[in-house]
Amino acid sequence: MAQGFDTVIKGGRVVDPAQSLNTVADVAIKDGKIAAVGRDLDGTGASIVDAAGAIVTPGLVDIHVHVYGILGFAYPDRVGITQGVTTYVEPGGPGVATYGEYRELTRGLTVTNLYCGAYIGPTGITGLEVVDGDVRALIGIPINDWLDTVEANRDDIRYLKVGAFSNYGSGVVKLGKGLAEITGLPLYIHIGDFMKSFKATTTPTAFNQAGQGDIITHIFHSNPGNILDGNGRVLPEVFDAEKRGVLFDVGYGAYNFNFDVAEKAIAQGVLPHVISSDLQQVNVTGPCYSLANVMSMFLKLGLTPEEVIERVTLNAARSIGLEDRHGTLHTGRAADVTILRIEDGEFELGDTQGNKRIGTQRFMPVLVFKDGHRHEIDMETAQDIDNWNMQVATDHIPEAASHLSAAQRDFLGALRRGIDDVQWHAAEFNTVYIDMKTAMELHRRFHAVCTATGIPLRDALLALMACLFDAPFTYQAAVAIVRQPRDFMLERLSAVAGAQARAAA
Amino acid sequence: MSSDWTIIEGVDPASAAYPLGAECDGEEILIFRVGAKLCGIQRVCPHQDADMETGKVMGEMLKCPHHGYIFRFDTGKCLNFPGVNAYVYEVSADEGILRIRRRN
Repeated sequence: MAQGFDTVIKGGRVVDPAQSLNTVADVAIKDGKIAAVGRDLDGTGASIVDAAGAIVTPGLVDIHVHVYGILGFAYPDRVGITQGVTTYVEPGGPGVATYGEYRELTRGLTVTNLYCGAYIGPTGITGLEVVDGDVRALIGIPINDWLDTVEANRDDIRYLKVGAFSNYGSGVVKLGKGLAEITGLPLYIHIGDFMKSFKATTTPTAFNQAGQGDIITHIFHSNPGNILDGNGRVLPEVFDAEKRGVLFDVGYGAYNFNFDVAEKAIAQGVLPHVISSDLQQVNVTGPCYSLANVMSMFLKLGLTPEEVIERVTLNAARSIGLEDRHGTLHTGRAADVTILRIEDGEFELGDTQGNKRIGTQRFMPVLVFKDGHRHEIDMETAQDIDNWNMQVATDHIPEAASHLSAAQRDFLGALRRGIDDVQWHAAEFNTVYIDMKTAMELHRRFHAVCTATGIPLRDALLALMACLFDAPFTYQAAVAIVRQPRDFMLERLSAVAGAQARAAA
Repeated sequence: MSSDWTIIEGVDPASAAYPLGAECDGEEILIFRVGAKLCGIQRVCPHQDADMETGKVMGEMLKCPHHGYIFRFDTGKCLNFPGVNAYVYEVSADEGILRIRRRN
């Protein structure tokens, strides 16, 4: 009897570690859900996908992809669904002050399921040399706001992120652990430091502070504060943490994965529980490229395909407390399915220090389903310059500004007046340094004007972004403002707001 | 603010291996072949002083091999982290003589 499936993926090797499945089988989809997994399912009337020779896995889950803010992408689906990843987590783009902005700007932005990891600093990750390990940049930690924000958005906020580097000893990591306990979130700790300005990394403290379910990311980085001692031995704190149930995450990143460290650590028994990419605009053109590429590195490091897949499906979903929703092909779950081929050949694999290894196998996504809908794979389009080239349109007004509503232009005019007495100094759009105190004042003004004019926050944010960027980047409002030369910013607001007055005249 | 041309002695631009190390106004620079052109940029990345000799040429841009910062050869501006700027250099190979001068 025909089952009336919408789609049947036929004849692939189904690898679903959550169900201990590793067998040639069909996967049937109906109404956006997994309807059945089994042999010789009846595809009468269904769309048939021939997956013979390929691996059929739960939709890949990447717990570390920068979608928002300074490290984010204009078209973040290109590092998600388009590369076979059906669920990802923004690792720290927003903080408690900017979480509402983040939600409004990313609502409906991606086909890929997007969850949030909130950063301990008020605006979220802002930049580079600067403030993220500087305790002064925390501007006080508003416990009430944290409690209210996490409670109202527990479904979305999956972890609290903190960096284990500081000018003030290991206090920031301890603050992070305290806040994680207060809010009931796992702590997601970035270890290692690439920034010149910090006096110390606090990696051993990070491992000592982490408890069951907390996650250490960048586990195999080779910068100061890595997990090896001077003799190449894994620090004892690492083994102790693992015994307590602390999870280790790859977070390949732009500077945070080193073959030598990985090989030495794995030889001593340290395996990552989760493989994540840390894709961001710096590494998407190499050496990271995609989660699939990072997965392939772990084949080279000796993991089996099944062990790799477990770390980007079941383990990844479980680490963010979403194993009841993502990471398995269990019947009744959302039909998120990734079809991969394992290609044989000679493939150059690079770490973030430029060291190379030649792999003989690699993962190559070929097709993906999200909620039962089929999406084609394109592994290259993420690298297109329009996806990562975050330039402020200083010499022209972005085209998007010509589509703003009267209310949005009115808002920009009111914002222009509302920040008129705030002074700041930036010679050009500068992502390196930030005046956090002024940023927070501008943040307060932006939201006050928003409230006073009655404009929905999303419309206000899109209006500001349309003043600055040609491509649809998403960014913390006040951080975007404070990084412009003040004269330019005020003139631009006037120009875009004034276009309305001229149009009406 | 272009400076005067500096002649790089003893180098035949046609047969030289690129990227080519050179010095201009006391600054260590690298000359890359970019399509049919030659383009100069400061040797050390302005982000963290990494040597950019093994950087990847991407169109009219150079990607630092250390942290992936991408610089335009024409303006020295960093694309993915605006506000970080490198010195870039105009390179001439006219009449078989290698000359360089700063663009920015």
